[in-house]
Amino acid sequence: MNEETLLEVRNVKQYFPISKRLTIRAVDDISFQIKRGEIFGLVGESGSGKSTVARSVMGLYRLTGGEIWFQGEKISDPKIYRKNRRYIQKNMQIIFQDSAAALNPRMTVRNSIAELLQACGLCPGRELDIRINELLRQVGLDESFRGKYPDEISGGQRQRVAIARAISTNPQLLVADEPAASLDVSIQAQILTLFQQLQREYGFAFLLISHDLSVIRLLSNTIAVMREGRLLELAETEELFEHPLHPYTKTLLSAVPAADPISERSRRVLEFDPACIPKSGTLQEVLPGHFVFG
Amino acid sequence: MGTVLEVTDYSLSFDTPEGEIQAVRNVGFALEEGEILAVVGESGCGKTVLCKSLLRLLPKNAVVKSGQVTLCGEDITAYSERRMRSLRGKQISMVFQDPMTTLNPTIPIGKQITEAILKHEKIGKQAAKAQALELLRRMEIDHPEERFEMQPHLLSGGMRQRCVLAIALASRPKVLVADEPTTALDVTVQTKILDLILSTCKESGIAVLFISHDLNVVARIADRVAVMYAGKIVEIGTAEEIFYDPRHPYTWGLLGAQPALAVQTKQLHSIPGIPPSLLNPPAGDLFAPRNEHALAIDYEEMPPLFQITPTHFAATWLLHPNAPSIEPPAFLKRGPRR
Repeated sequence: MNEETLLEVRNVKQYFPISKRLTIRAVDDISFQIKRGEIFGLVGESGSGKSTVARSVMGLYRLTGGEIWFQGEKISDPKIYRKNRRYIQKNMQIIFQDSAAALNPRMTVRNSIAELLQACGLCPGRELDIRINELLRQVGLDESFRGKYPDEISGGQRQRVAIARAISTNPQLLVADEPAASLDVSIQAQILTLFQQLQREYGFAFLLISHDLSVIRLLSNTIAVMREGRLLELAETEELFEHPLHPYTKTLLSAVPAADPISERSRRVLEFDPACIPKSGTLQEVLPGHFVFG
Repeated sequence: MGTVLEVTDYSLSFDTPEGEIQAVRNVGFALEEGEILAVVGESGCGKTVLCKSLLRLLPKNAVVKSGQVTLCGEDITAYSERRMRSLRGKQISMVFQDPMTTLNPTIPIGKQITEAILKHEKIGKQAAKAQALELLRRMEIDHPEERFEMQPHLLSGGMRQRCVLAIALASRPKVLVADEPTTALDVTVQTKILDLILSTCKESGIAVLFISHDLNVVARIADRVAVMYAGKIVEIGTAEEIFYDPRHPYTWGLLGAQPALAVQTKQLHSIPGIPPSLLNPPAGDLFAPRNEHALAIDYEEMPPLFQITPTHFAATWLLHPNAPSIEPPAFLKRGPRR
C-alpha cells in the first residue's frame, strides 16, 4: 500500500445467511483502492450489493472474508478497530439516502451536529456553536435552522444537515450512499453542486454510490461497475465512458437516457447475457489503470 | 385523428384545516388519439393530482374549482361515482409507479388480468383466459402460461409492471394515464417498459398521459411535453420545442439540472430555492422568487400563456413584446444531435 492510498478494500466478502440452504452473497470478493482526495464512484443496479459495500467499509457489518485497510491500519480487525475507534469515527463519515431516517427526529439540527463534534472531542466550549453556524453556512443553510427539528424542514434541507454533520469532523473519507436519489432534480442538482464545492474545499476522498450513471460521471474521477456482488469493470471516468470493455458496462451505458428527443428515439439498449460472466474470476488489468473482470 | 381527452381551464383545490391548497391551477390541454403527452415537474407540482382527478381518484376534500374534463366528446366533470366507475378501465386507465401496490399480492397475476377483462366484457371464462394470455404475450412476457399462475412476489419489478400494463390495457381504453411507471425500475429495464408503452399505444391508437419527474425518460417517448410548476402548466409544446427551444426559465432550470447534460462542463445549473407552498399562494408568478430573470410584473400578475408557434406556449412575461430580451443560458444552446 503506497502513501497515496487512503482506503483499501481487499477481497471483501459479505454473505448473509437466510436459511440453512440459502446464503445471499451480497458482496463476493471485491477489491479496490481509494486514493487521498479521490472521488470514487460505485455504480450498479438495484440488488448489486453497492450499499452493502458502503456499510462494510464503515464497519457496520463483520466481514465474512477479506480485509479493509484505512491509512495503513487494518480496520476490519475488531481489535484494531476498537483501539482506533475515535480516530476512525472522526475520519470516516457516511451520508445515507434517507435523511429522515439518518437524523434523530427528537434532536434539533444544532444538537444533531453538536453530538458528533462533542463525541469526537472537537470544538470545546464556546467554539462549538461558532463551528455549527459555520457548517450550516457552508451547506447553504443559515442560523435560523439551528432550533428546527428534522420534520420541520424539507428533504433537501435535511440532506444538507446530514452533510453538514458528516463534514463537521473534517473527515479523510466521506461515503455517500445514493445521497441525492430521493430528491427532486432541481434539489438534486443543488446537493451535487454542494458536494463538488465541499470536496474542492475540504479535499476529502469520496466514495459515491449511485445507480445513476450520469450522477457518477459528473462527480467521479474513477468508476467501478458492480453487478451481483462483484466488480466487473474499474477505470478512470472518461476511459470507462469512452472505451467500456465489459459487455455489462456497455449495456449499462447504452441504457442511460438523455434529455435529447432525436438521439433518444433511435437509442438502442444493448442486450446483455449474464452467462458471459465467468463463475469465478478476478479483476484483470487489461490496459494501464483499466480493470475488467475475467 | 380526433381529440380523446380535453381539459379546459381546470382548477382543483384541497380543503384542509389549514386552508385551501390550490393543487391544480387553470390547467388546459388536449390529447389526440394515439398521442403521448408527457407532464413533467417536480414533486408537489400537481402532476399526480391532475391525473388522479381525471379518474376521480382523489379524497373527498378535493374540490373542482373551475373548468371541465371532456373524455371522448362527453363532459365528465359532473359525472356521478357510478358513471365514473363504468369509464375507469374501459375508456381511461391508470398505471402507477409501484406495481407491487397495484397488484394484489395473494392472487395469481393471470387471475388479476382475467378479472379486468371479465369486468368489462361479456365473455366466458375460457375466452377471457385466452385473451389474458394473449395480453401477456403482447407485453413480451416469456412463458406466459407458467407466469399466469404465479403470484406477484415471484416476478421481478419489470415483469410486475408489464402485468400492471396488461391489466390497464385489458379492455382497450382510449386513454392511458401512466404515473411515473418506470421510476422504480433499473435503467436497463426502464427503456424496455418505455418502448412497450410506446409501441402498444401507437399500434392501438391509445392516447397516453405520461407523468414523470425525469426529462430524460420523457425524451424517448413523448410527442408533446407539458412542464408543470406549482399547479400550472408553464410551458407546453412538441418534444423538439421543449428540449431544443425552451422558453420558460423554469424549463431552462430543469434542463440545466440534468447531470447528463453537464458532462462536458462538469457544472450543474441548479435552480435556487425550493418549490413554493400552494397553501394560499401569493399573487403573481410563483416561480418569480427562484427566477433570476424575474421582472417586477412577475410579483404582481400571473403571466398568461404566450403563443410562440401553433403548438408551443409558455407562461412567462419574458415573452411579452415589452419585456427585455433575455437569451436562454449558454448551456442550453445545442442543436439537435443526429
